[in-house]
Amino acid sequence: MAANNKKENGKSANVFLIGGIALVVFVAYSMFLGYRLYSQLTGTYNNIQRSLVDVSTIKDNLLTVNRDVLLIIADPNKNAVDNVHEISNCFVDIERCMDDYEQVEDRDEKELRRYKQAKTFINAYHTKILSFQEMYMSGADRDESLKLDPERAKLLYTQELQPLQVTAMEMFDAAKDIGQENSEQQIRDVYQVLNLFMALMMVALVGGEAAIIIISRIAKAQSAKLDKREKELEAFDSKLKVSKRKMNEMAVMNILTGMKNRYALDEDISGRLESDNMCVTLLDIDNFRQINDIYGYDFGDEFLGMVSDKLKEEFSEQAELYNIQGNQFCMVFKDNIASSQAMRISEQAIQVMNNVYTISNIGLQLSATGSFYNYHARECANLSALLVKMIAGIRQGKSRGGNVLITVM
Amino acid sequence: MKNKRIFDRAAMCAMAFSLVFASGCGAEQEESKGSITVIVKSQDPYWDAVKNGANEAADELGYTIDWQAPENEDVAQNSYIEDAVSNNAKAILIAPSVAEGLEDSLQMAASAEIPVLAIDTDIKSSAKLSCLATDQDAAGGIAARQTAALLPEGGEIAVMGHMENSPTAVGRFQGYFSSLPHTNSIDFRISEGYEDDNVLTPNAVKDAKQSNTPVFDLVDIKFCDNDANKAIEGTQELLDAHPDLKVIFCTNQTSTVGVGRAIEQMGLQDQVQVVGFDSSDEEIEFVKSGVLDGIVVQSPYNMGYLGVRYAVKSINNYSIPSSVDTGATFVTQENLNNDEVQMLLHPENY
Repeated sequence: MAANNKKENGKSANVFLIGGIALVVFVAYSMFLGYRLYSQLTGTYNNIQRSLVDVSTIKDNLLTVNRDVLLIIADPNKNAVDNVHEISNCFVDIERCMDDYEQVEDRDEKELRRYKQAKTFINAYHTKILSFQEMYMSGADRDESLKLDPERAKLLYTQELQPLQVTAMEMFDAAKDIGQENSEQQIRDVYQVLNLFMALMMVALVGGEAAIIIISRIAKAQSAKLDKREKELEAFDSKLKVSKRKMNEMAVMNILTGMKNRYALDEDISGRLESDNMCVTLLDIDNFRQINDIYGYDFGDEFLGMVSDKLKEEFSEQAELYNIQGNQFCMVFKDNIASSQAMRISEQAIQVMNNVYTISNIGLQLSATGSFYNYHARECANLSALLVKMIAGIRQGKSRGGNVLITVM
Repeated sequence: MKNKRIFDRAAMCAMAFSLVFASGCGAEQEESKGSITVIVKSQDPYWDAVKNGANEAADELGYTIDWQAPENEDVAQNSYIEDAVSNNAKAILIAPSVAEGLEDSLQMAASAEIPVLAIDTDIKSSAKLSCLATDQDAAGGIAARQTAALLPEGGEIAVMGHMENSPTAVGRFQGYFSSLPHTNSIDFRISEGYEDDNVLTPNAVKDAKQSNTPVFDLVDIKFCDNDANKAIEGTQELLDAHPDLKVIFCTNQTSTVGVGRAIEQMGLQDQVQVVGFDSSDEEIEFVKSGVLDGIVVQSPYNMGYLGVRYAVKSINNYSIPSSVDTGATFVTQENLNNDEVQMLLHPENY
């Protein structure tokens, strides 16, 4: 049973170990995943922002160029130089933005393609603007036929420049839209992963909670089982104690009379012989052997039982009673009984034994001889020495005809 | 028992993790937001380019294209519009092959709150939200300026139109001649809206000659009815009647190809300048070999692409301009290999 218990304990320890390791791995993984998602989101947001800034700057510049071209057409003398300067600045800015746009990695193929188309339109537009400037601004130095008057310049603008500019802007928008859509998709993906992750955490939490509940239930059940076993054990133990006590009692008791026997007497007073004073009386039924001989042992036993019951009934308050041998009884008086009183009680005891006892309608009366010993400490070395003195007293009494109390010294 | 439970849980966790990774890595298939019907005039490479642009825009914006291309321009487009309405199209892009006769169908689309945008050719209708096309005036103007640049001395000029009552032919003609300083030596009696209102006065001609500005003399206008062979015959007739002819202006692909073939057959590529429209492979070859001196190339790809983008904008209730000029480019031997020209001719490579 104990071995089994140990095994169970070992198992649950394993469970906790594995659970602990799983928890550590899970937390580490969560941190890693969280960090990854976070950096992914940041990167995506940065890319979106960068692209938006680039595209809107490009569009702003294109609009400025457009405005400048219109201003040049409206009043070439007044605006031309400044505006031409501004236009070239705008294109420098556009170039810079396009470079920046190209720096962003992981662009979708479609977006890149659209962006390249937009770039081609921008370049065509730039070329057109340059040739427009050349034709329009420096017309005077060239063949007159190529000089554009304002009317023709307007046509050139609406028919050749504006469509290019509009298309380029639209293509940039398209590229930006694709990029934005992709980024949003990425963000949606990230959020989806995040949601799944949360769900997973929930599952882990609920699972962990359930595991804790299950384990605690199991532990509870086990401890209940243990308690039960302990109680059983206790009960068994007390039973054992009871039987042991009984066995002990049996060893120091005369089964026939229910009185303590000689071993008990030995046990009880041997230790006291060295230090205590006490009054002891030995009582012996006279001619008892004849009863056994005449009526049989059963009858004798019955007679002894009745005598001992009577003695117990009368004197167990004043003295400890022992049945040290078949027809011999010993009284060890309690300390509060004075020796004279003890002597009187001893005589009463002889009287009691002298009564008529009726067994199976046969009245029976046997006298008894007593030997009283007012013992003082260290007078005897052991019980045997004590008993020898007292049996000698009995003999003395019997030789006098019995039914007397002899005092021994 | 308990150990087994732990392993079960571990297996579950592993599964969940792999799920997380799988979903993180896996590209998600996006649902289409709807269908945009594109109705064009006929089936040829020009419309294929429109289709290409439309498809790419739709793909980028999460829509699908319902492509409707009749076999030729004579097929009435009403049924296509009505089909689009009954199929719950999100928007309709139409290249109207006729100027009138579509109004009822277009109104039906408008009452179903389907945005309608015209591409390539404008149409007069209150249902139309926007038009994405090459401004024919502008295209003609570009051709005219380039013609003037090609021939600073001016000279006799004739026109090979593709169809007498075609709005594109009228637009291109007017755009061209309003930007070209010219005189008109023919008795101009062409019906259906052809008006030459930019004829130089005699004084202006004198001034122009003094300032070395080129002056062209419009000597004849012919129509080939969209038939290349007719255009070849017409070219021969023109050259027979006007041996000093310097320029032939053609108004579309068929007429340009016809005139180009005729000039090549007669070996007159150095003598007669041909300015045409559109960009079939044959025309590109003619440009390379010098038969054609310049062609005005529109951007059908951009019409399709921007058309769908604007359609989606209007679906999402953004305002869009009522008219967008998708531009035209004059392609010559010189700029044929430039990036922007190649992108116009072969948008699929860019």
